[in-house]
Amino acid sequence: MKFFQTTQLTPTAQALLDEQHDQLCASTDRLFAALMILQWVGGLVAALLISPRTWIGTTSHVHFHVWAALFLGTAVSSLPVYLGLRYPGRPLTRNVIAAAQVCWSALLIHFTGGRIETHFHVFVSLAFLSFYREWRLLIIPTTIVALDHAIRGIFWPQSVYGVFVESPFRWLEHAAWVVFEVVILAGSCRRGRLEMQQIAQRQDELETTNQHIEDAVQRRTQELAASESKLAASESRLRTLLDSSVDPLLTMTAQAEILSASRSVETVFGWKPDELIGKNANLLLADSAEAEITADDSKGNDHEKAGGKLLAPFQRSSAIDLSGRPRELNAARRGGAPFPSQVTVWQVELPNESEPIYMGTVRDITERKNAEAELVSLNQRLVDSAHQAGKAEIANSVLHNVGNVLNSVNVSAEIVREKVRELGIENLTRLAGVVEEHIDDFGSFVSTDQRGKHLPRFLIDLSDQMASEEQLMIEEVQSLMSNIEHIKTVISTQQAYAKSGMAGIAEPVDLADLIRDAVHVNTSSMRRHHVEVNCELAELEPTVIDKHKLLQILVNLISNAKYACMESGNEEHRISIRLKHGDGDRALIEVEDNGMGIPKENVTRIFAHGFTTRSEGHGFGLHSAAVAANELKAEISVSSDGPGKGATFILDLPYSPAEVPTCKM
Amino acid sequence: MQVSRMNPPGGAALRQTQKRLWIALALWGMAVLAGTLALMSYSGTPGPSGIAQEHWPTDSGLTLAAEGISIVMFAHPKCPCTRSSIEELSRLFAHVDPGSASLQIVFRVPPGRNLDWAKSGLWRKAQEIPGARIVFDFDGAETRRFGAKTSGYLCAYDAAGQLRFRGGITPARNHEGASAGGYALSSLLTEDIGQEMVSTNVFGCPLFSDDEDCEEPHEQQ
Repeated sequence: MKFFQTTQLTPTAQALLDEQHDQLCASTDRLFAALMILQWVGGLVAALLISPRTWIGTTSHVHFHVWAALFLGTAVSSLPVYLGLRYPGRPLTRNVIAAAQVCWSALLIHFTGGRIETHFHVFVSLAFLSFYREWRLLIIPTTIVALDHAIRGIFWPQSVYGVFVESPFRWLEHAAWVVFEVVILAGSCRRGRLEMQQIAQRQDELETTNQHIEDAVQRRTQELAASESKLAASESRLRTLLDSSVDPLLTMTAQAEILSASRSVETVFGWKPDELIGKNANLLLADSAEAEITADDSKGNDHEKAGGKLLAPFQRSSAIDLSGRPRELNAARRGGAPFPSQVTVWQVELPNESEPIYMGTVRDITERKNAEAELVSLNQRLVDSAHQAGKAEIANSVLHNVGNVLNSVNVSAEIVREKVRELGIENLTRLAGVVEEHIDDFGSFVSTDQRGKHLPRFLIDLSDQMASEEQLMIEEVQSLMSNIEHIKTVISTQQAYAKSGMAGIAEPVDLADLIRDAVHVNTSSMRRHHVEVNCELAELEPTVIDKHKLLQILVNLISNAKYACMESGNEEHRISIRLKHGDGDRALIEVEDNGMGIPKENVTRIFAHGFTTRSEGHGFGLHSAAVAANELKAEISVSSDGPGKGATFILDLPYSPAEVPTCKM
Repeated sequence: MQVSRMNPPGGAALRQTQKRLWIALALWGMAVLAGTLALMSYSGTPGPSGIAQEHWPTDSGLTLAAEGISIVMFAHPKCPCTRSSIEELSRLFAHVDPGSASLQIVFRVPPGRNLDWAKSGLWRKAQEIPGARIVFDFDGAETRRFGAKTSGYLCAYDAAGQLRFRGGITPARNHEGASAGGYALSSLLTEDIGQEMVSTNVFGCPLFSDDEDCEEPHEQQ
């Protein structure tokens, strides 16, 4: 049954309201069931105390009130007690209870001798019945009271009319009080119902909200479970990945306390990951590194001190930049054996964490260090080899040119020797013998002797011949002296560069002069191979540079251009050398040839050690030039349009004329 | 949203249950009605009214007041119904001028009973009424003399010894409250309603056993 219908209530709220009313009625039914028993006991006790027996003279009997309290009271209470306990909450139950309750009012009034105070039971009962919050329920006791008066008026007029006689309108007063209370209680019931309605409405809203919240919570819980599952899987994967890391990976607090460690710590450090949890990360550092850090800590700020010895140096070295800059430290294996390592620590800001954590990797770089040492050694050897090769190249150029000149010298000397031999010294000697033979009659001999007559002519011819030979010989000797002077110049130039360059000292250098010297070293060879060299040299202020290395580079580039020309098959061999100012503090030296050119695939390999395209080449020249250029902080590059189209080598030098003292050598 | 409701039995079971309940209700109603009617009948059935003498008996040991109304109530010491009469008297005399009325309560002690037996709760209640004179009538002479047969019987004489009222002052057995007798006695004491005698029903226990003669007068104790 619906408690009461309102258009404002939702079906759910109406159901809640009905449920609440049912529960209210049920609990009130049980309350009245207990009250019925109590009233039955009370009525019986009252009857026993007030009117236990009725007397007739000397004899007495149990008073009728006792039997009435026992049997009528039982009858009155039985059904409401049964219904209240068996069918609580049903309309019939509370209606029977209402009827029984007013009956009990009447009974108790009787049993207590009609005491006026007992009449209060009527009003108390009405108040109790209002617990049901049904104003209709109040009609029943009111009706019963009316019936009581009606029945008594018929069967027992004395009890009614006696009152009427005394006060004809007192019953109206009594009735008015009852009606007054009923009206008040009916209003209270209605208010109670309205409150229940509001409560039901609010409960409906609350439960709807709760349902939404529960749905949301359930949904979020499912999402959370899914996320946790994913997170667990992700964590597992991450853990696997971390454990698969060759380099140990650590997470630490700001106090360098290790929070986690990958499995590889056991391989590298000899510690099991679990053994490191909670330990200080400085445990993994060698004593020397720790001592160094400890010393530095005395100057550190509070945060660095709090950060621990391991983290502090990173904060200082990178200006509190823990973005993962690697640092090489000596780490310590379990037992204290140090080993070189590359330690990288970076700060990780975790959401919802007040303090950041630090992650770090420790890479065992022992092999790398050994390889680096080996590489340094090898590199030094290579540099030395390159230097030697460069020097050899220069020496080769020098020797080549000196050889060419020596060939001319040899030819000149041979010519001189042949001229000397062809000078007719034997004729002169024979003439001298003839003169000596005829010294005594030399006059007659000249005038008379047939042979003597030819002697003047012979002398004249011999003189002419020797004069002629002398001129040739002078020319040859002149050439010979020139060639010897050239050799001297080449050698002295080489010696001069060797002396200055051996020390590796930078000095002010006039780049144009240096280029001319480099060309000069190759002049003889160029001339012999008919290579035309054109120089376009800008007049730049001297710059400080290692003259020997630069000469080595230029000689190599010019020699390389010469060979390119020679092997190109072209009839014209042409080399153009240009010196010009580059961008900013740079100077550019370009060596261009119209030689064999460079295939595109070799452009990037041409400076590699051992790379050469000449059958008799060694691959040292350009490599040594590149090494030397690197040492000069210069850049060397090559461009070529392809095979047969020549090539241009560009040497990009640092050029700082303002810093160069103007000191002419 | 699920709302749990009490699920009454359905179908035939429900009808059967309802039928039983209605039968039980009818039986219960009849039982209660019958019991109530019986109770009403018992409470509303008066005892035999006394036939008091029209004039104050001269041989009575009781005292007729020179002024005002002399009231004599006869009571059985153990009658529970008379408690209501005592209460009514007490309530009445609380508002009456002591000079306008005198009250004598005669406890008729049945034969074979002594004074201790007679000094019951009713006697203690009667003693609480201001100015009331308590008299124990062992042989029932005074009771017979005034024609009292039922406990709670009361008769009132004026100063001239003329009977002005007789009967009970409760509306029912063992029932306080407004009654015709109470109203008449109150009017007699306060308003003097005239010379007509008023007689009302008496509700109480019989003062004499069936084997006793309630008509024969006895000596006053």
